[in-house]
This record gives sequence, C-alpha cells and structure tokens, in this order.
Amino acid sequence: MNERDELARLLPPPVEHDLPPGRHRLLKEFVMTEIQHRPRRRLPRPAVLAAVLTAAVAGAVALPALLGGAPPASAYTVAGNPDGTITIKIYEARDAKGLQADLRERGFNVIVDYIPAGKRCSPQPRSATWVPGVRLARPQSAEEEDAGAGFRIDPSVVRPGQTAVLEFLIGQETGGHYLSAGISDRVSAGPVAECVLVDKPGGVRD
Amino acid sequence: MRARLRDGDQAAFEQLYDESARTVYNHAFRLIGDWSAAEDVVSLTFLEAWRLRHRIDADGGSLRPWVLGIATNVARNLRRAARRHQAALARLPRGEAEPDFSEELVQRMVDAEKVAAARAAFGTLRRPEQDVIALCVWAGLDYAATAEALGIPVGTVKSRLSRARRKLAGEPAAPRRQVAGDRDPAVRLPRRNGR
Repeated sequence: MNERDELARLLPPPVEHDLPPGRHRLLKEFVMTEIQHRPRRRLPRPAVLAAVLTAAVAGAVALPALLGGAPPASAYTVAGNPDGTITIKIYEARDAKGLQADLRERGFNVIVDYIPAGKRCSPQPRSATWVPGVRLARPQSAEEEDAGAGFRIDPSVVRPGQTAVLEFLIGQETGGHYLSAGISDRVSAGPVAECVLVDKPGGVRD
Repeated sequence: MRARLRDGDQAAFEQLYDESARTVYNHAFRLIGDWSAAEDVVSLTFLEAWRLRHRIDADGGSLRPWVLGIATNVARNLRRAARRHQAALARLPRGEAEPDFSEELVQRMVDAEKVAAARAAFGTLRRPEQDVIALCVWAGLDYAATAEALGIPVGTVKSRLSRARRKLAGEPAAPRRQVAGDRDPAVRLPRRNGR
C-alpha cells in the first residue's frame, strides 16, 4: 500500500460539499464583474451587483497592520489624487470622527463610523434612501499598495444633497493587526440616522 | 486553455471557474475548517488567479494544480490576500442574502462530527504536511501535480506524506534527513501568492 492509500485509510473521509445553492453563481458573477472592472478606472458600477447591494456589509478584509517601528502620528492618512479620488489608509481603529472631519474639509459630505466586533449600528437601516448601485470604494494604485494597504474613495459619485456613509467593521486586535470584517461604502439620498452601537445578536462574524 | 487565459480571455477564465470552484471550496474548507471563510477563499483565489494569469506556462496539462496552489496560499495567507483585494471584497455579496439556508445548515450539522474527527487528526500535523495531504490525498492530485501546486520538489512531497503517515499511525519519527527545500524557517517569510 502506498503512502497516499495508507493516509487515506488513517484519516476520516473528507466532507465534500457543493457551494450552497446560488452561491456558485453569485460568487462567479462577483469574480467576473471584478476582473472586468479592475483594469480600467472610473467605470460605472456593473449592474450585476445591484441585486446584492441589500447585503449591508462586506467580507473579511484586513486593515493595515502596525509592523513595528515608529507608529504614525495619526490613526489614518488621507491624500488627494489628481483624478479627484481620495486615498485613505487606516492604521488604527480609532478617531473615526477625525477622519470624517478631514474628509469633510475636502468638501466631501461623508459620515464615518467604526463598528467593533459584536456590535452593530442602530437603527437599521440607517437610511431609507440608499442610492442603488453606487459604491464609494475602489482599489488603490499598485504604487500606493506598495506603501501599505488602503483604498480609494471617489467623491464624484456623491451628488449634491446626498451623503456618503463609510462604515468599518473592526475585528479583534491581534499582535498589532486590526482585522476589519468589512467596509460598507454606500451613498444615501436622504437623511442618515446616527450610529448608536448596540450588541449584535448572534456571533461576531458577519 | 492556458494560452487563452494568459491572453486574458474572460470566457476561458469563466470556464476555469466553473471547473474549479467546487474543488477550491472543499480544499479551502479542509485547510481552515470554516465554510464561510472557504467562500472567501474561492473569491480571492480566482481574483488572484486573474492577477497572476501571465505566470501560466504556455505548456502543460490541467490547470488544477496551479489553481489549488493559489488556493493553498490564499487560505494560508487569508489576511494578506484579503488586504490585496480589500476594495473588491467590500463589494462581495454575503451569504446572509441567501434565503434557503436551513436545509444546508442541517446537512452541515450532520457532517460536523466527521469534520471534527478529521480535523482532530489533521490538526496534529504541521502545516506543510497538512497542505500535501489536502492536495495529494483529498483533492486527488498526484505527487508531481502536488509538487507543482506547492512549488516544491516531488521528493519533498513524498517525504512530507511519509512523515504525516508515521505521525498518524503513531510510529516514532524516522531520523530527520534534510531534503532540499524541506526546511521551514521558524519565522516564516512571506510567500508570494501563486508563487
């Protein structure tokens, strides 16, 4: 008997699943949309994602880690780009309102909230008038990526009278890493409720 | 297929997704033990595959080893892969949107015992040994394909399998011989995704 057969005998048979109903198709649409979207800038959001925008917030992403050395003076940095977008890098999950104020100084009508693990904003939904198909965040350039994780936001998608809402779900801090469970980057056409943090029913993971 | 992918043919990439998504999903679950995270690995693996498509050799057989190699790296460096595709993931539709979840959940609870047993044994092994088992024993790659997926020599695949078998069978470890490329540094250097 060779090593493979012997190992297969020693280990219980693996569980095998299909992706849950609908997920195969949905994830494929997501991947195909992303690869079409990626090479070019300033494309309108593909319509295929409109159907899923009701899902409030997003997947596992990591905020930049503090990798030793001198910590940055600020919990975040904000930099304008020639194309009108703004590059945001978040180093520590604090001072959401400072980030909000800095963005507003640039004429960008935005609300920023950090949401710790196990919490959620109340009331939900915070707006009855989310603008369908409009999202703020996009990847930063490769050069920016080399200087640390972050993302760009595009104020031009926010029309006069509308409000951008950036919510960051903040996971546990482990070894200087703030693992974010997601970003919500929507635009509201009408009033946005203040985020009052309340315990989230169920687990920590979204 | 290889040439088409290298040239950025999206229809070929869609075909690769259809052929490989289930394999990647199950492979990821076996490595990390979380179905929801395994879905993230599926998305990130294909975003990485697209990004790294120019590295595909024009010659060669099935792309399964290449895709599973990327999936292994993504699952092992999930945080880093997620950071690279941070903005994309912000747009990733979540499972909660799925209405008919309960039946699936019941089936998964039935499987939970099997999973726990497998992971108890699997968890006693080192990660490099886990990776070769997941690829070579469970995903069905042969020695050469496993070596290709992980970017290691075939001899290293065999020695890791052998070491894993001895551990699982409760045999004393054989004297350690150094095989080229078979050292894991105490502090792992970041590996490039997809090599």
